[in-house]
Amino acid sequence: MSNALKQVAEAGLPLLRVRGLTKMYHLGEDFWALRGVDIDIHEGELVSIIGQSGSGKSTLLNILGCLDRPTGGDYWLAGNHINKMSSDDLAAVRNQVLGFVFQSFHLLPRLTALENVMLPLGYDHLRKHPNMRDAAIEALQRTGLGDKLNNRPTQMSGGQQQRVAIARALVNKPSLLMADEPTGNLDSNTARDILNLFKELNRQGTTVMIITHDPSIAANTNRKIEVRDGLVIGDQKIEYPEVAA
Amino acid sequence: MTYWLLLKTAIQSIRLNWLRTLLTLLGIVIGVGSVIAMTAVGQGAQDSVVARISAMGSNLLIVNSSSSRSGGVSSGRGSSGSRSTLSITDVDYLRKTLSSSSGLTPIVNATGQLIWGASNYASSVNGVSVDYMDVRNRQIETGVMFTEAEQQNRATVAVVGQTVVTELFLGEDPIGQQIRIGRIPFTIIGTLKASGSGFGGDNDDLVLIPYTTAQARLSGTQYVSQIWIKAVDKESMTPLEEELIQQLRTAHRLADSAEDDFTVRNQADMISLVSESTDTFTLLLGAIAGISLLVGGIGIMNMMLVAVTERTKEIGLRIAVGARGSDILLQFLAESVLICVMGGLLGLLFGVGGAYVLQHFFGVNTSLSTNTMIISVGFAAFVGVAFGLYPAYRASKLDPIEALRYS
Ligand SMILES: Nc1ncnc2c1ncn2[C@@H]1O[C@H](COP(=O)(O)OP(=O)(O)OP(=O)(O)O)[C@@H](O)[C@H]1O
Ligand SMILES: [Mg+2]
Repeated sequence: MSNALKQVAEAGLPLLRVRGLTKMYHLGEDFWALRGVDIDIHEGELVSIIGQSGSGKSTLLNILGCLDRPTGGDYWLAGNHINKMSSDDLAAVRNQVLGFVFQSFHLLPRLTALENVMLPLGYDHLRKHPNMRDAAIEALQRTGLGDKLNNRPTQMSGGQQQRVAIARALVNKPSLLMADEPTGNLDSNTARDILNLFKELNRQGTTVMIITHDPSIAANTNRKIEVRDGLVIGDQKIEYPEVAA
Repeated sequence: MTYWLLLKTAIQSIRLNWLRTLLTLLGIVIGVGSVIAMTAVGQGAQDSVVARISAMGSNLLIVNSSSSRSGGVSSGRGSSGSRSTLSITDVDYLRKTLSSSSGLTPIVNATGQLIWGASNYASSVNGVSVDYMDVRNRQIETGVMFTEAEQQNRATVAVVGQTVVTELFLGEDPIGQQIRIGRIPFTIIGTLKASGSGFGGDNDDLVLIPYTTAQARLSGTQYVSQIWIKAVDKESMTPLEEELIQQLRTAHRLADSAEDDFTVRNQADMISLVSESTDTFTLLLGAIAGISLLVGGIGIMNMMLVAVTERTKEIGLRIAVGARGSDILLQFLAESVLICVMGGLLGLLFGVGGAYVLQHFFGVNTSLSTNTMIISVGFAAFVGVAFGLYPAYRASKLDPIEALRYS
């Protein structure tokens, strides 16, 4: 684990732990999008989060991804209490410990695939990256895009764009990869390819959390967490995950 | 983010919107350009005035009469019009008493019509002493200056400037020619080297005659309009000035309580006075131009605010992949500073070009100063920081989730 986190995960302890996590939005009246969530995620897991629209999945993942702060509850990442961290420290965590993949890719349109993937390396204040290009090329090769380095997002298919986004999330070698409906904008064939990519990355050692609406995708993971009305209502290990063809 | 990356990112964004950037940049270009051109004009004006003062000679003290309010002993009987308090007696007295001057000449003004054959011309006739040449830093072109003996004998000899040579003698060699000044005949014994124009117009439009002659034959009074005294060196100017005032007060028999009935001007003081006032003038010009630089800064701020709004999504993404608030702040600051520095450098080009055009096509004396160039380009960069700060701050405070949702 990189030095963005002071403590290293102790053996047996979860990589990620939240207790009593809540999130309230004010919109005229108070609205509780999360109402006390407890989750432990261990290293090496491939987890899916499912639930109806509006149940609070994105709200949860944004907090776990350190993009948002909870209203209440506690969050530990490898034993580090995230609640207490400064925003600069959280930026370092996002940069080095976590990788985040969005439904709508969020690539910068004026940059090439390579430049998009290099982006996080420029914000790494803690480690030196003597060769950003090579690191980005390696990440793109891992997602199978070694031949599209100089394409701009508009010159790529949706699936390819998502692969660039995944490469960007991978480039800093994160411990935990989070994806919010990564296949939501893709057709089913492409979706399966992306899912297989996540499974492959998981096999290589990255812990992965995927939000999905698609039961067949959830069935492909090791563990299924179901969210409803801001609460975890189901947490199910899948002993024999389906193998996506 | 490394500085190199910051610069690269800034250049990328600027290239994306180069036309908008260029138009916004104009404010800064005009601001910096006019600061440089304006101060060059101001400084040029100062230089030429100082040059004129210096051309009068060096280390000079100039005594003028002043109509004293308290009424000095020797005042009150001045010739009609000019109530002069300086007289030939003062000149003789100063010549005898001043301990260290290197030259002294009275100026007896006797403007008169010059007549040579059928040709005539009105010039300024000055009764001066032999020292005049040294005091006023003038040289003889042809012939000779009159001598001490001719001065004592009130000889009717004259030395003329080049303008008189052309206007009265129509270019012919004037040496040895007889002219009349008013009704008195004079012999031309020399011509002065040209010296160009200075205060009070053409420095070459004059006739020099011995002051003794001027006083006896032309003006008919004891009074002189000015006394010019040259100090040995710069350091002795102040002591000489003090001594001069003391001696003149003694000569005029002024009581201790009485004010001076004359004024002494010191060449060094004149230069510093002129420098001060033109410095103020230059500062004023610079300030006016500086205001346009500020207006340019407001344009930059406006553009940067638009840029931050347009790039909300990009900012959100950058924060999401690990940019700190300070990274975003620096990125936008780098952009606005880069724009302003580019504007500053372009302005520098226009300012220097403008000064060149003024100098070579409009005859305006200009003097470019490296300091002003450095300061104004530096100020442009400062404007970039000052007016880029607020937009950059806004960008750095964006919430990544909301920013990413922005469309
Ligand atoms: N910024 C916000 N302000 C107010 N309410 C919000 C905000 N973001 C989310 N919500 C509310 O919180 C609840 C949970 O939203 P969330 O986006 O987490 O749902 P979700 O499970 O991701 O839904 P979907 O599957 O449609 O993406 C919703 O009712 C939503 O209206
Ligand atoms: Mg969602």
